Amino acid sequence: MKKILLMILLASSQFVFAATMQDALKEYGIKLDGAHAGVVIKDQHLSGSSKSQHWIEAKTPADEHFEIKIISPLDQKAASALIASEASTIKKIYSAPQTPYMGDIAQAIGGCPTTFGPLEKKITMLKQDATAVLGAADDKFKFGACSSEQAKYKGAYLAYYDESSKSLWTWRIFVPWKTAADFKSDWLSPVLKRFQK
Amino acid sequence: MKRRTLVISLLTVVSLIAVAIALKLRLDAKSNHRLNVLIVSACSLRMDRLGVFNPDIKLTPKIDAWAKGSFQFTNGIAERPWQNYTFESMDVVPPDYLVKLGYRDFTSRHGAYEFYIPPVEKKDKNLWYWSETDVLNYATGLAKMKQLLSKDEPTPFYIFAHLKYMHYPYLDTVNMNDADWKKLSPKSQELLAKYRSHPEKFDVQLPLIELITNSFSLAKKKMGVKEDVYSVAGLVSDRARNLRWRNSPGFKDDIELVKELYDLKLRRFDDFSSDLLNLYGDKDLQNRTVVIFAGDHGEAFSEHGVIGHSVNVYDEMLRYPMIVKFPGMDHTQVVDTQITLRQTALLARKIVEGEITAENFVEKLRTLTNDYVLSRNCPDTIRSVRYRSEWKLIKNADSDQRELYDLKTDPGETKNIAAENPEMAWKLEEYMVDHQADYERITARSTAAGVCTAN
Repeated sequence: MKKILLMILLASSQFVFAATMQDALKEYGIKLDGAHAGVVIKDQHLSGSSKSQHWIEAKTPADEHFEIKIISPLDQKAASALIASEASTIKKIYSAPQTPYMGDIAQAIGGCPTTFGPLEKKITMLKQDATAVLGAADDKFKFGACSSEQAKYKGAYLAYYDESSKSLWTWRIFVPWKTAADFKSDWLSPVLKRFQK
Repeated sequence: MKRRTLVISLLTVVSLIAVAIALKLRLDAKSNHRLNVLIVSACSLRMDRLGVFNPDIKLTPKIDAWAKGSFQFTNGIAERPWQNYTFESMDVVPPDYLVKLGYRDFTSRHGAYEFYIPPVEKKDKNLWYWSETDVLNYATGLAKMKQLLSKDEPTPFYIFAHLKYMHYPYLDTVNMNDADWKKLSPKSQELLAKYRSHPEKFDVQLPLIELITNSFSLAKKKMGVKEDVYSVAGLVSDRARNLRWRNSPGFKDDIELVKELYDLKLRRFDDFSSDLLNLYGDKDLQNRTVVIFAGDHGEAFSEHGVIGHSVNVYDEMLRYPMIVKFPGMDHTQVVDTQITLRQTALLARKIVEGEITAENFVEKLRTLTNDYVLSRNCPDTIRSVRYRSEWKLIKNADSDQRELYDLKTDPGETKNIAAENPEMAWKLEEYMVDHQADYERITARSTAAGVCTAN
C-alpha cells in the first residue's frame, strides 16, 4: 500500500513539475500575466563545482517558446564576455559561411537575405537594459532560417547581468513567424512587458 | 709567511681551474645531449587511415615502418581545425630563444617551412596566400630540406616543416596520372570519368565535382557568381546545395569515391613524407634527432553532413595522429593522453631545453597536458570541450541545445545523450563558461582575410 502511495506521489509530482512559467520564475520574484503563463516543459536546477544553472523551457497556447537560463554566481566581466560572444555568434549565423582559406567562393555566396535577420534592438527587460538580437528561426527553434520555407518563428536572443544576484540571465524567445514586415515590427516589446518584478 | 701565502694562492688558482674545467665538461656534456628537433605536421590527416593506428589499413607502409619504436598518440586534438592556427601554435618556441640556447635558426619564423603542392592553375594567385611564409612546393621543399639536414654542423637544429599535400585530398590534377586512377574501384573509376568528362550534366553532384576538378568556371556559371574567386570548399559550404546532394540516390557511391580519392592521395603522401621522416637514411642524423610527426586537424567524409575541415568540431575534424620518435628508441608506446598542437610545441621546447627525454617522456607529458581540450570552428559558431577522451560537449550557437557524447562507447558521436546526463553536460559547460577567454585566444596570424576571428 505504501509503495502504491509512493508511486502515486511520484507520478503526481511530474504534474506538479509541469507547472507554469510563473511557477518556475517565482523564486526570482518575477510575475507573469496569467493568460500568457505557459506550460513548463523543462525546469532543471544543475549544480557544478562553483556555479549552478537553472534552465527553464516553456511554451504558450499561442505556440510561443521560451528558453531561459540563469547561471550564478558569475562576475560582471565574465558575464559581459559571454553575452558579447553569444550575440556575435548568433549574428554570424546569418552571414556567409566562413572558411579559413582566402578567396573562398563561400564568401561570395550563402549570406542570409536581410529580411530574415539579424536585427539588433535596445530593450529593457525586468528593469535591466540589454541589446536583443533578432532573427528568423526554424521549426526546431534554431536561429539562421534564411528562407520563407524555413522561417517558422521570429526569434530573439537577449541577455543581461543581474548584479544583485551575481547571475547571468539569457533568454531565447520564439514567436510564430508571419511575414517579413511583421518581423521588422516591434513584436518583442509586448512579449517582454508580460514579465514584471 | 710568504711561502704559505704562495701555496694558498697556488691552491686557489688550481681549484678555480679545476672548477672551470668541471663546469666546461658539464656544459659540453649537456650540449652533447642536445638533440636536433624536426617537427613535421601534415594537413587533413585522418588517424583511421594510417596503418600505425589502424592495422587493417595498408595505405602507409613507409610511415608505418618508420613509426616502429616511438610514442604513438591516439588523441591529438585540434583546438582550431584549420591550418593557419598550426603556425600560430608553434610560436611558443620563438626563434631568438632557440638561438640563445645554441640552436640554429633557419628562418625568421621559428624555422618554419611550408611544403605546398604545385599550383593547380597558373593564373591563380590565391593559392599562394601565405606570402609571409617560406612556401615551397614539394619537389623544391624536400630538396631544400635534404640539403639543410646534410650540413654537418656541431650546433643542433630545430625545424618545423608543414606538409600540405593532403589539403587537397580529392583534387584530380595534383601529382596524379592515369595509372593512379586505375587503383580506384571500377565503380569509382566509372563515376570519376563521368564527372570529369561532362560535369555540366551533374548539377546535383556539383559540390563533389568542385572538390574533384576545381571546376570553378562551371561552378561560377551555375551559381551566377561573377567574382574571380577561388575555392576548394566553397560550394560544399552552401547548405542548400549540399543538402540536395546528400539526399540524392547516388550519394553513398559519391562518398565512397571521396574516400578512395583520399586513400589514393595518402599512398602518395606516404612516399613523399617518409623520406623526410627517415632523415634521408642518414644514420648519424637519426642518432641525433627527435622527429615529431603530427596531423594538424582531421578531414570529414560527411559523417556529420560536410566534407573537409574547419566547419564543425566533431572528432573526424578535430582528431589527428601524432608520433614522437627519439633516437635509438626500440619499443613502441601508445599514449592516449589528449594533446594539442600548442602542447606539442611546448613538448618540443622542453626537448630543446633538455628537460624531456625518451626516459621521462610520459611522466613529464603530464605536466604539459590537460584533461580538457577546448575547440571551436572557424566562424566560432560551434564550440566543444573534450574531457579525457571520455566525454565531449558541443554547443552550437544556432540553438541553445547541447550535444553530449560518451566517446568511449560512441566514438563516432552518433547519439546525443545530453538529456540523459544533464549533470555531466553542465560540468563540461561550466568549464566552457570558466574558460570563455580561451576560445577567443586567436590572432590575425591564424586567420586569413579576417575570417575565423572570434568577434
